[in-house]
Amino acid sequence: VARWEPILDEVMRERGSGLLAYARLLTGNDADAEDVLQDALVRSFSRGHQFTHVNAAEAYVRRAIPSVFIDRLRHRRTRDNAQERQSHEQDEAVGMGDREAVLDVRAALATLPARERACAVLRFYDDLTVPQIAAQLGLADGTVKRYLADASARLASVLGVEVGNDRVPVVTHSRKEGR
Amino acid sequence: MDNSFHAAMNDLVAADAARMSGREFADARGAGVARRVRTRRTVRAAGMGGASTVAVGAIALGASHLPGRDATTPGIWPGGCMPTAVANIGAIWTVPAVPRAHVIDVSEGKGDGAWYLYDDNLEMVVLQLVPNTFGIEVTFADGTRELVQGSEQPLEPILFAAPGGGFVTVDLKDAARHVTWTASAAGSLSPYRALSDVEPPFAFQWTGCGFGSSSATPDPGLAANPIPSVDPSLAASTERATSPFRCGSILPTESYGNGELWIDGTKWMDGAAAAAAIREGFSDPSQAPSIGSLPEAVPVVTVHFAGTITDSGLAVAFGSAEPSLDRLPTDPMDSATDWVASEGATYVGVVDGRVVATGTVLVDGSRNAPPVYTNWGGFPEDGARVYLLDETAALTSCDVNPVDSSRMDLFAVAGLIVRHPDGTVVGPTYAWLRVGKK
Repeated sequence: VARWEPILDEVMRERGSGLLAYARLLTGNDADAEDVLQDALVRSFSRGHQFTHVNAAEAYVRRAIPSVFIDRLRHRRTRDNAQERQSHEQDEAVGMGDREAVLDVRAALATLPARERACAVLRFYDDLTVPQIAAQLGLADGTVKRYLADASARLASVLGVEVGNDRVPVVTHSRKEGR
Repeated sequence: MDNSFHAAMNDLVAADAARMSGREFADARGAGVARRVRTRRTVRAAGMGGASTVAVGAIALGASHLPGRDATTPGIWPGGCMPTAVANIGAIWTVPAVPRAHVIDVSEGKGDGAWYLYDDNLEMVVLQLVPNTFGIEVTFADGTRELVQGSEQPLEPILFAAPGGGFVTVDLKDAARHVTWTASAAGSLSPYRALSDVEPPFAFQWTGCGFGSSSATPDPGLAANPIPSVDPSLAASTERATSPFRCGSILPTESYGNGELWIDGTKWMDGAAAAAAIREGFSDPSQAPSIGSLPEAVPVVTVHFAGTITDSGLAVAFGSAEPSLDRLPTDPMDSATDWVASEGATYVGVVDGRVVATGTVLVDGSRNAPPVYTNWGGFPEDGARVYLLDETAALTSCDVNPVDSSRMDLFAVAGLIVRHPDGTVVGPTYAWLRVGKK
C-alpha cells in the first residue's frame, strides 16, 4: 500500500462529512457535492504531494474543491439553468429540518448562479480577498468583483439584510477568462 | 464582511456535515478515487503529468528480455523502423542516438496470447495484457487487475505507465486482435506500431519511425521490407492511423478539418504584441507563463474544438500533446467527471508533406506552457489561440540529425477525442493547417 493511500482513506472517512458539506455550499445539492469532492480528492492526491498528516491533506483538498467546481462549470454547455433548478428544488427539500436561519441561507445561496455562489462562499465563508478568490478560481479580479457585487445584492434581497459591508465596485470585463 | 452571514454559513455547513457521512462516501467512492489516483500518479512518474528524472534511452520491441525467453534472439536493429519480419520474431529495436539509461521491452507472447511490457531497469514485467472473451485483462505492476475493454464496446486508446518510467498507449481495436502500441518515455520517444487484424504471422504497420539513422544498415536477413510510409489516401481517410502529431505522418493537403475540429486565423504577430496578448489573459501577472524574449514574428493560429461540446458536463484534458495519449474512462466504474475528452494543439515541422519534427514534450510534464502556449480563453465561441513562441525549442527533430529549417514548413496540428455519455467514442479526429516557413 502506497503511503498516500491511508491518508486518502482517512481524509474520506474522518473528514469527508465536513468536506462534503463545504462542497455542498458550492454545488447546492448532495450528488454534485460528492462528484466535486471525488474530483478534488483525485486532483489533490495525484500531484505527488507527500501528505504526512490528514490535516494537511484535508486543507489541500478543501482548497481544491472550489477550483474543481469552477472547472466543471467551464465544461458544461447548458451552464447553470437545469442544474440550478434541480439544486434549488433539492435545497428546499433537504432544508426542511434545518433551523430557520440555515434554511434562509441555503435558500438564498441557491438563488445565486454557480459562479456567483462560488465567489460568495470564498468571500463570506472562507474570508478570502478578491485577489485570492480570483487566483483560486482562475478568474479576473474584475469578474470576481462583479460576481460578488451581484451576489451581495441578491443575497441582501432574499435575506432582507445587507450582506458584505465591503461592497466592491463593478468593473466591466469583456475579456474571456482562461480555461 | 458580514459576520452574521458568515455565522449562518458556518451553521449551514455544520448542519450538512452532521447529515452527510464521510464513511459512506468512502465506501461508495473510495475505491474509484484510489484507482484514479494510482493511475495518475503512475502516469506522472512516467513523465507525462509531472516531473520525471528518468531518461529513457531506448525502447526495445521484442521478447528477448522476458523471463524465460531466449535472450539471444537476433538482431540489434539500429535503424529507425523495424520491418515486419523483425517484429514478428521478437528482435530488439534500439535507438542508438539517445543515452541508454533505460530500456523498455514490449513483447507479444504468442504462446499464451498475452502482451507484456518489461522494464529492464526494474527487471520486472510492469504491465501484462491478456485477451479474453470480454476484452483484455490488464495486470499492473502492483498486481491490480482491470478489464479495460468490452469486446462489443467502442474502442479508445488507453494510456498505461511503467513505474520506472515510460508509458504505452494501447489502442484496442477489435479487442484482442488488433492492438496499437505507442511506447514512449520521458516525452522523448514515440515509435508507433499497429498490429493488423490478421492471423500470425502478424503484419506491422509503422506510421512513425521516430528516431534512429535512416542510413544505418540493418541485418540484411531481416531487412527484407523497406521502411514503410503512410499511404496518403489513408492519411486523408483514416485519421486514427495518421496522427499529425507523430513523426512520419503524411499531410497530403495544406489544411484539413471538419465541423468538429478545424484551424484557421493564421497570423504572424510581433513578439511584443504576442507576449502582451498572452499576459492579458491573466488578471494576476504572476500567474502568466514565463515567456522571455520573443522573436520578431510569432505564428498564431486559432483552433476550434467544436466537437468537444456535448449536452452533459465534460471534463476536458487539454494541452499540446497528442490527445489520444490521455486515458479516457473505459468502464462504468470510471467517474463521469473524469476526463471524457482530450484536446491537443501544437506545431510540427513538415518537409515534402511528411512530419519531420514534432512538438517537444516538456520535461516537467506541463501540458500548456511555452515554447508553445495556448490561450483557451476563447472557448468555445472564439476558439483557442495557439502561439509558437520559440520554434527551436518547440520542435524536436524526428531524426538524429537536425532538420534543415529552410526546407521545413510549419504546420499547426490539433486533435480531439471525446467519449460521449452514451459511451460512444468519437475520434481521435485531427486537423492541420500549413502556417508557412519561418
